[in-house]
Amino acid sequence: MLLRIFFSFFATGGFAVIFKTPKKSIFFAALTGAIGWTLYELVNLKFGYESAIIISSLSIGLLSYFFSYILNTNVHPFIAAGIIPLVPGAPAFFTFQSFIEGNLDTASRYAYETFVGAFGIVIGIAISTAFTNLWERKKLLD
Amino acid sequence: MKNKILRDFIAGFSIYSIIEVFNLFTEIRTYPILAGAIMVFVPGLLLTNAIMEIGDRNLVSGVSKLVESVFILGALVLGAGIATAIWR
Repeated sequence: MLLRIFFSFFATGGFAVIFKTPKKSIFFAALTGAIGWTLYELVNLKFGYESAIIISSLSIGLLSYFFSYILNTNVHPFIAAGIIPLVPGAPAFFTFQSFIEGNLDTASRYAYETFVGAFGIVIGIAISTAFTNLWERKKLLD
Repeated sequence: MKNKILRDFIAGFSIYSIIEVFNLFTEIRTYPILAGAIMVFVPGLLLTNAIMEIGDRNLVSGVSKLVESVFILGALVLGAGIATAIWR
C-alpha cells in the first residue's frame, strides 16, 4: 500500500507534465494526487469502493482550491491532474475487452465499476465547487 | 495520419505486439502490463469531463465528449484484440 501511494505521486506528476501544467505548480499537483489516493486507500479498507471515490475526490477538489489560493493560479490544472489516479481508465478498457472476448459477467462488473467511478468523481468535485462558491460569495459580501 | 480512430487502433495494436515480443524472451504477465501501458491512451479523463459537463447543463459538448471517448476506447480495444488473435 505504501508502494502504491509512493508511485501515485510520480504518476500524477507525469500526467501533470503531459497536460502542460506550469512548472512551479507541478509539485503541488502531484501532492494533490498523492493525498487523494491515500484517502482512497484508507477509506476503501473500511467503507468500500463507492464512498472511497466520493470522499477522496471531495478532498482533491478542496485541496486544489486551497493550493490555487496559495499560489495565485487557476484551479483547473490541479483538479485535472489530481483526479488522475482515481479516474476509471483500466475498468473502462477491460469492460470493452471482456465484451469482445464474450464474458458478459465480467464485462458488466467492470462497467459498474467504470460508471460508479466516473459519477463519484463528478459528485465529489461538484460538492467542493459548491463549498468554495459559498465561501467566495461570503467573502464578496463582507 | 489525420484519422483519430486509425491512430488509436495502431496504438493498441503496437502496444500488445511489443508486449508479446518481450514475452518471447522472459516470462511476464500480460494483462497488468497492458493495463499500465495503455493508460496514456485510455480516455478516462475525457469520460469524467463529459459527465461533469452534462452536470453543468452543457449538453452538446458533454454528449459529444462521451461519444468520442466510447469511440476511442473501441478503437484501442479492437487493436489489442486483433493483435491477440494474431499472436495466439
